[in-house]
Amino acid sequence: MTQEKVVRLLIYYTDAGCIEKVVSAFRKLLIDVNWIWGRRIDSLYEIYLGVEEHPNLKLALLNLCKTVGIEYVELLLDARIERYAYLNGEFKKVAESNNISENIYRDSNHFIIYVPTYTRMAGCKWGEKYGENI
Amino acid sequence: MVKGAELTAKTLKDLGVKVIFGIPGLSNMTLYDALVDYVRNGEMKLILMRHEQGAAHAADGYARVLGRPGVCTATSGPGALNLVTGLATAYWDNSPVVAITGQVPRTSIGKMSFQEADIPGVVQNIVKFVIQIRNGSDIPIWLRNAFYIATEGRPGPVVVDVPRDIFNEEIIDGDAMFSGEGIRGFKRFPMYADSILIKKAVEILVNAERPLILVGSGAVMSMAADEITILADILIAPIVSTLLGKSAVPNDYPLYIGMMGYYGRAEANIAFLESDTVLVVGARLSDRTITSYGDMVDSKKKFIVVNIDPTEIERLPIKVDVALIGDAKAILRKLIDALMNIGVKFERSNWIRRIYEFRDHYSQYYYVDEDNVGLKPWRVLKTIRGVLPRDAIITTGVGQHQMWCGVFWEALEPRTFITSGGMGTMGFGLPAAIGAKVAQPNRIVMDLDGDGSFLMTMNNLSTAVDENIPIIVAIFDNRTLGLVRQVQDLFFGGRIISVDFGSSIDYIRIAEGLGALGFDAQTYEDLVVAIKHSIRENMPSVIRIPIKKDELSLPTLPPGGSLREMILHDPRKGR
Repeated sequence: MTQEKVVRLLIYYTDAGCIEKVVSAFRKLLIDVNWIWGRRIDSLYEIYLGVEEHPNLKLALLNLCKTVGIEYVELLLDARIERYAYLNGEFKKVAESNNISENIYRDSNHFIIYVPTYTRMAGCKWGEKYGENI
Repeated sequence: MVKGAELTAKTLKDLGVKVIFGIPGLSNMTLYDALVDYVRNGEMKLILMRHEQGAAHAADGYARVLGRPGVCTATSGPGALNLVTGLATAYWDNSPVVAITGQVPRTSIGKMSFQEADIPGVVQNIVKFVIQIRNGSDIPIWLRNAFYIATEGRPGPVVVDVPRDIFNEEIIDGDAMFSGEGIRGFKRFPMYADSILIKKAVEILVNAERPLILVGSGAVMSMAADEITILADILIAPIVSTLLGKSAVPNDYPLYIGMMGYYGRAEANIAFLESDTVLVVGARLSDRTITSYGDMVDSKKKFIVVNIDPTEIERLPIKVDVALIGDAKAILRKLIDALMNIGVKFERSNWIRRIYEFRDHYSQYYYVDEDNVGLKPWRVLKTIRGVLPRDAIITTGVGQHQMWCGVFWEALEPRTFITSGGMGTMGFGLPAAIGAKVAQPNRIVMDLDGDGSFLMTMNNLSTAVDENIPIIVAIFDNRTLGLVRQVQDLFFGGRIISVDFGSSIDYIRIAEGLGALGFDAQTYEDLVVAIKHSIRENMPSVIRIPIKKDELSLPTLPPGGSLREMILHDPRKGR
């Protein structure tokens, strides 16, 4: 089974095409995107993506880090994803291997968010690397 | 109060724009109207191309010759879509083109309006940056940003898409302050070339037995010819180039061996394979230069890589021993200073002698003239070189003639060899020559073209005539798409299909019909006469040069082959 990797980035908003710009960086290199979560904070988008591990992933991140509008790109190296479903006015954790939770997860009526937890990160900002190596 | 179009025109003038290549239409004609006064008082020139692809290539040619942005414009929908190939060509070869595209009014966007196309969506992945203007007051800042982004760091094309109602809008506050450093999410690449890295690089170069310098387009852009030749002299290191790097150093410099790669000179490829240390200057080591990464990895050679873009080094599938990030000229100067300080005298005569022996050996394969059918490409290029001054600018199309130019043309000054390398865009040569000639009107500009490439954008010859842009077009006329034919012939068992043109096209009459001079060079002497006549008449000219249909571009490689598998002579002769 292919392992999922979690990418976090900040991109300045010019128009909604900035989301296309991010996603196409993976599409162009044949990398599948499993999920995307983001929010707009004034003129900045914070975006998280769950992408399939792929030999081209490093290249996609390098391309993104020098894309006009992108502040930085980070690969969350040891990210574990916790899923939360919005139920009865509050977010509840969707447990793994639990039939009830899985049903909630697969039910399109519920809003699910993905929360990565991580301790290690590799970042790149216009060719300047920080954290660990990508 | 000022109209958006007037603000656009004024900003372009303030940015120093002298010429715009393009075609007016419904969505950019207000901009043209705002430029009338600048044109009438001689501050700006509008060159009416015959197809927008030609406008993008002309802006590209202009930019590559001068090293500053070339500007093109097109109307919405089909006009802007026609720019696409030219923009991609500029992106792949790092050329700073700025395109201003008209767009349908904001109220019509997204509604399948007349002549509407989603240009930001279309070009997003083939340009360095695209912005669609939402408010008229944003015009100055985004145009200035566009010029800054196009030129800073690794150059590339930028598109500014302007809905035509914004061109007509009355704008109050339209002179926003600009600071290149302040573009959000855009930064200069860092420079990593401190004394420790330089020392490490120098140690490797000093200890090398067979050093080689490989130069690419970054060396051309940086205008680092002096530094490269000084370094080669100090190190006693031969120089090879990529196709785009050909004019990085004078090709008659004794240590310049030639273009390497898929269709590169055999001695240049052998020099690369046999070297133990390669100093790569401004080249990204594409699959046309290094056809098989095994050629690099297996040899355990050391690599010192100089590039303005640090991510280019990260992506290389080889171990880079020293990465020096920054402008090539500045970094090479540091290397020279460090080498001068240690004052080592190198004794590498065996290495140089071996390279020269390769050169002499492989000459027997290149300079053959065994039959009398057509003219020989190598001799044609030697003849043309003999007539043109050192600073003449050459453009090319794409195909066999381009590869012959790569192998046999001698580029003698920086920025004098303009070709579509990364994208390999047929039809590039003629409009790029127009842009180059507008950029350098006092220099001779010659498009060394193939018949297939010429046919793709020849309509722009009419622009050269109308605008009095005296370019010379030499057509290597083999009545076929020669490079495809060659591959079919050599690697598809001779199953030649859908490449031959037939004999009916008369290039002389096409030239004359468009108002240019036309010459048929049946001999090398005819060619000399035609070029001299063209220069004397100072008119756009077309010179047809007959080339044998089955003439090959050699050396070449089998598809997917390594540099070790070079084909040097016509394999059909052994069939």
